[in-house]
Amino acid sequence: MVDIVELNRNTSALSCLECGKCTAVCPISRLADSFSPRSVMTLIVGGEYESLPMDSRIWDCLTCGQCRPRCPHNIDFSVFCRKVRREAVLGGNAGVPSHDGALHYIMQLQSHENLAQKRLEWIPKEAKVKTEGDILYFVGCLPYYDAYFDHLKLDMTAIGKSTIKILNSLDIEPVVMADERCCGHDLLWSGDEENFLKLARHNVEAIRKTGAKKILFSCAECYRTLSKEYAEFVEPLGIEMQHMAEFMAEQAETGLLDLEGNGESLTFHDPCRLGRQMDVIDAPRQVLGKVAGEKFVEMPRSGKASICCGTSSWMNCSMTSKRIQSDRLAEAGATGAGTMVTACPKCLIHFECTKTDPNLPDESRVTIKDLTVIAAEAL
Amino acid sequence: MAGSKDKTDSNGQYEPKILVFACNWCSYAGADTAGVSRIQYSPKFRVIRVMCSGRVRASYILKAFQLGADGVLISGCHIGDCHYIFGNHRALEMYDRITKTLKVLGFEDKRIRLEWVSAAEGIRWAEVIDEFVEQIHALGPSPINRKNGSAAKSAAEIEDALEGNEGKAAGSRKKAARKPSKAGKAAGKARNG
Repeated sequence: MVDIVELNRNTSALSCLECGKCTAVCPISRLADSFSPRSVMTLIVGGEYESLPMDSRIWDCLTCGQCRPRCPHNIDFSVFCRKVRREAVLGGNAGVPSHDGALHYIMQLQSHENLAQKRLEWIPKEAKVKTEGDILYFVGCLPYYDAYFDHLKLDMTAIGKSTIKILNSLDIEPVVMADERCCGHDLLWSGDEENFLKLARHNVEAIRKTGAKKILFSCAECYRTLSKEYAEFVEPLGIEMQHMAEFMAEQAETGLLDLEGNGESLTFHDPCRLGRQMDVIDAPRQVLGKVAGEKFVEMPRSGKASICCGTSSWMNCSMTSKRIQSDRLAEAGATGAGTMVTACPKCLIHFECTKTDPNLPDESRVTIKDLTVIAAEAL
Repeated sequence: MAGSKDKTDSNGQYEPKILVFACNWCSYAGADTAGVSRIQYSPKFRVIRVMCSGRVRASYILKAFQLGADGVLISGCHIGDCHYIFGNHRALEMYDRITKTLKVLGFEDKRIRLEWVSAAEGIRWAEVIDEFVEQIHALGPSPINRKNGSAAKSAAEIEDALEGNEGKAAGSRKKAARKPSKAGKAAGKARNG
């Protein structure tokens, strides 16, 4: 059952004017006319919301939030979809997970208390880390992606290694948690609130135990989830949180972090969760400005107007997703930059996956690197 | 289902849930051979027939563990014998990724196994199953089935448990090896007659 009053309170869905500005900017509507945010909102305003949880359209949304700033009533369509998805899963309309749900099972398995994970084995011996202290580095699912996407040879843990290297170079020994669990972002956004809560409660308790006063992230989704959703569903942590982009920009500003690139031309892909949803637009550009200087170029769709990487929460990867991704790679290639930098491990995986397509033109085959990796190389 | 109730046999021993994926063309037929040859082996597993070992996706194994399985065995045609030419190569690739993933999750690597059993290898099928069932019994409940506070068994404890079982298992396997020859002869006579 859709509780329309509750939904309206969180997303102001009933204020929809049916103007269609959301559909005008929606990256899915642009490529597939079977979906438009407006047609979904029309159902709500017309009072037909009872049929909504069984509607496949609620799984088409990328939850990128492109539509929100354009909406005259600031309707949060992404959160609206998230809330309806919970009802949809309960009603049996569970959407189509990519990888047959393997990644969701990995997250659900992590919700069991007795798990003795081996999630820190990638940390090199020379790296300095602690189990208790002021600054916590929330690693996220990097070791799982490294194992599961082994065939793509992505070296996902390089992101973690680079982050620790940068922090060590600033004489910071970050805390890393051996019993950290997935932040639960993907479970929450694919309608599995029950397991999200288990993960969230576990993490909150584990974070409290470390006595951390500040949490750093290399993943945009973990950053959003711990900042916004943990406060909404569990309790506000009351701890300062920063994405590595923000942290590095701050340190570079004070001159503590000295970055010097190899003269390579770079461009930046804003992850939805970091740019549009957490308002971190300038920080990664400041860091890349230090690394590449004049050679940093912008893509036409950047900052708040940046396009989503085509899939979110491991749901509904389709031809449309692939089109969005290959269009984005073409856009990056057209800037002349050899490397597209991003600040979310998922964006990196999705673009690398698209690059396995043999029909992708050579100009689009740009190197994709995480911001922390680029920064660590420029130390 | 997962961890919902204690799974114990009549002696109060923990009874693990063991899932076996067998390919239609070789391993499932191998199990049939074991059956018609009346080879005695452990009945403590559940088998799912798939068209090819390459059909078994990483998610199936993860789902099995999430639903409370303690061990998963995948069995296909020998390399070079796949009915679909390269299906078992796919299974090998998948197995490599899933073992790495399960390792990060903290699952012992002996909880999952990949085997090649042909349609003629009834005896081998029985041996593989017996061995795997013993192995999972020795390992005990999977991390998600463990009761709160109980830790995983140490390597030495597992070794001990395996040694304790060895006598029994070897005996049953010898018996198994003896039986089919008799049964086989009888069946042969019946056919000839």
